[in-house]
Amino acid sequence: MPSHVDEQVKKILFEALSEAAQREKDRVESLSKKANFSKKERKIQNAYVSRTISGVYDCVSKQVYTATSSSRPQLMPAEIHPILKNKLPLGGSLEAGRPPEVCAEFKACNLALYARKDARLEDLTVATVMTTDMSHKTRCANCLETTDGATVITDNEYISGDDNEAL
Amino acid sequence: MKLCENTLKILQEHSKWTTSYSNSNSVQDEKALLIDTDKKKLPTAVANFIKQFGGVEVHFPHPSSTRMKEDYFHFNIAKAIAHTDTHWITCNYSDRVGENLYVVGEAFHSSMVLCMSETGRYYAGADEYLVYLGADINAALESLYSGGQNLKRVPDEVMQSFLEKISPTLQGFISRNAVYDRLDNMDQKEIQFWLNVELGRVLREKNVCSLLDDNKRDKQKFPKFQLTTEYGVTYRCAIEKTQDTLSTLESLKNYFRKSHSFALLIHPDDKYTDKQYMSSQGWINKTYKIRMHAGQLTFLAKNN
Repeated sequence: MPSHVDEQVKKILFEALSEAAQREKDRVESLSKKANFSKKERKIQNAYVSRTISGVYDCVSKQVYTATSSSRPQLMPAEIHPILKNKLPLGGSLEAGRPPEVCAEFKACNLALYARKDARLEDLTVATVMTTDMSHKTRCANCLETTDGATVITDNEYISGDDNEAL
Repeated sequence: MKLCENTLKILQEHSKWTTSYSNSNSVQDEKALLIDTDKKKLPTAVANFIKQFGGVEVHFPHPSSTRMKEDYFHFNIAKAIAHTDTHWITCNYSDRVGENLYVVGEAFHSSMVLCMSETGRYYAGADEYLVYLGADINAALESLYSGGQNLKRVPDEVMQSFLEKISPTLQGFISRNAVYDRLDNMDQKEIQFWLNVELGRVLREKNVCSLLDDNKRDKQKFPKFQLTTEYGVTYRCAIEKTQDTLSTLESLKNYFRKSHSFALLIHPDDKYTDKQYMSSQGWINKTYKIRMHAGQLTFLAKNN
């Protein structure tokens, strides 16, 4: 049975996501306003909006953690929480051309797990959106494995399993 | 566009596409793409693709996940543009592949944006990751349908040229493959930082670190990298003062701020002490250290 997610939690999560997405856009915009901002400069400064942004609500600490997709900064192996490390797909990435640890969901869950000593994935509610238009984003095959146990409220009907609640 | 048997099978079995399909929104799609790319006319290959496949959505069983019922890709251009910061395509991906790219859809559950080049090559990108799907629609659809495993990554040109520049400095201490392994995930400045750390490790293994410890640096041998401190498990690295030292530090500052934790180093040059420089830049006011253990780098933030 899908877990019931409190409307208040959804509201908190999407508000946090909205703010984080705006921050990401503002970051890029402020960099782009620099004089003589060239393509090269854009590359060096990484002045692009990350594709997705994920928010995680810890129902015990009542805190929200957000993270964007992208490999920058790169998550070093030692920075990955053991719970997530144990859930990494054994045969490597299940998705084309991208390792599991660059996903926004993975990074946000990593932050949340490290933030509280006895945090578990079961305590977390996850929502992921496209940064540019805030439309819901379904987890990729990697995140289905790594965030298994968390309640995910932005998956669509193409996901099997009972731990998600499609909106 | 000539479609092979397998492509026809994929399209006909997993989408509403038929051989007589014609995109009813092709004019709007072309307009959206022209506005987005700031061009006056689309290349013929792209325009033909839009007419023949625009709007098609292909759903199929996920090739590598048992938990995901199905995967899909679509050629809905307006939707793909809405989901993407198209600077990635115009400023980054196009430079990396050496020709202009155009957004033509999304793949892998909208995780990646699909791009097509003027010459009809297909690519998929998500943030820094750009993969080559194929030289024509047949190869591209085959790659998408098979889940894109073993796709070839497109390296970053900036990193390539940077590597060429610093190669002589490495003096054979670090293999090119070791550096290339890192290129996919790091930008130029991060690579520079990583090389500093890596060089320290190799130097220690080769018992040449005392040379540096004793301030007897062979500047000809190590013109670009200085290692200023201990070579036990803790490394501190210095960035040589060059013309772009400040931009290097600025980049690193953003990098480590964003990462919420750890990291570095800092010794821009003799004129600054770490803390003076950091406080003058409004930067991190902690001491940082990096640990190499069991072949892995660990970044530690010391309480301060």
